[in-house]
Amino acid sequence: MNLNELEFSDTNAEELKKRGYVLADNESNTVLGSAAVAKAAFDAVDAGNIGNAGNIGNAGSSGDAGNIGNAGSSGDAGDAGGKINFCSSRYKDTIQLRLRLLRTAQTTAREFDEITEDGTVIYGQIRVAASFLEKFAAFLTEMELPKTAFIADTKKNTIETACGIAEELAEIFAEEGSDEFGAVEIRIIERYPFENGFVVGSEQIY
Amino acid sequence: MKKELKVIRPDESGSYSRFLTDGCLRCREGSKMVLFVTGLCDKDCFFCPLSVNRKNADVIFANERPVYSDADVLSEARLMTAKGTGITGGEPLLEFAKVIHYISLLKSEFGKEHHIHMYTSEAPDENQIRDLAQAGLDEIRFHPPYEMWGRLNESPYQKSILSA
Repeated sequence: MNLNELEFSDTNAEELKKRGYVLADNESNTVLGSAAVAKAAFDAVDAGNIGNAGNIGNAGSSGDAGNIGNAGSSGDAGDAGGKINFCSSRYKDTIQLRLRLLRTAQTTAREFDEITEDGTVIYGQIRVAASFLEKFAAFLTEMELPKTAFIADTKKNTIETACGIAEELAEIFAEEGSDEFGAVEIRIIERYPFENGFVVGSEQIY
Repeated sequence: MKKELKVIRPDESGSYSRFLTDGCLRCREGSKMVLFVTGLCDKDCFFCPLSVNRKNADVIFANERPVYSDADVLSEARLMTAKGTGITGGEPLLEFAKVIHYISLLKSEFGKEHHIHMYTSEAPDENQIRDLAQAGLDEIRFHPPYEMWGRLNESPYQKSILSA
């Protein structure tokens, strides 16, 4: 028996509210009372009372919220006695998704990408006009950056490189200007570790 | 690989278990791809959390990647070096042929040790269960509709679960 913690989403919020469910806190999508119902189910198993899903639902605490845990297969229909798992809403973010992203990052990260604990990658992105892209790449090569330390993208008109290098460039340009490359923008970007991955954060530093 | 856990062991996410299936164990190492085979579903569960662009939409996703061909599925699996796949939806069994196709595809590409589990809120009959097993499905998770929870023993789900 697998019990999934009930959670709010954009599409079910109205129906949940209508039935009296409320958020457990302001930091997650967790429904108040759902984890307590799961705990009660474990206690019922401990007590040797391996009920069906209906019984477990009734063991809940906070009114209507006690009635649902979004159960998997029924405990008494198979040989699932005692084999029970509670999968929290937080698990899906902090373990399932995070570890999958980390795994992905290990195969997809470029030499200059920094892989975070969350499985996202952080890098610097320099945006220049198309006509200056080549000149900028040549400038980086003159600075003795190895070819693998940056990637020029002629579709997006960007140069992507390590965070540290982008920060250094931003400092230099802040002091000396960047007129010779036209309009330059530098950002630090954090995104999911694959092409066109979800951008978690973007901060313009120049 | 199945593990009976002697103690209830909460992890940092507040989950705990006395037992984890092979599907769960691989999810815990981040090696399960989520294959969303269709957003279509004939039920209307009030707690369904699916996002607007997936709910009741005829779309396929491998993790976050929209799928237009088998190559999309395989390259997503390779990208994350998946050791298994969870088939979900919508209601996967509304697209029975598609489910069989993807199970066969993943098993033939990554070997039979690529672990596949599937969620359903249907009560598949013995023939369907047999076909799924023959294609290579390793694990099935029944989500009977909420209204049935109090009387599963008299429902078709009892038979499905037992024959699985």
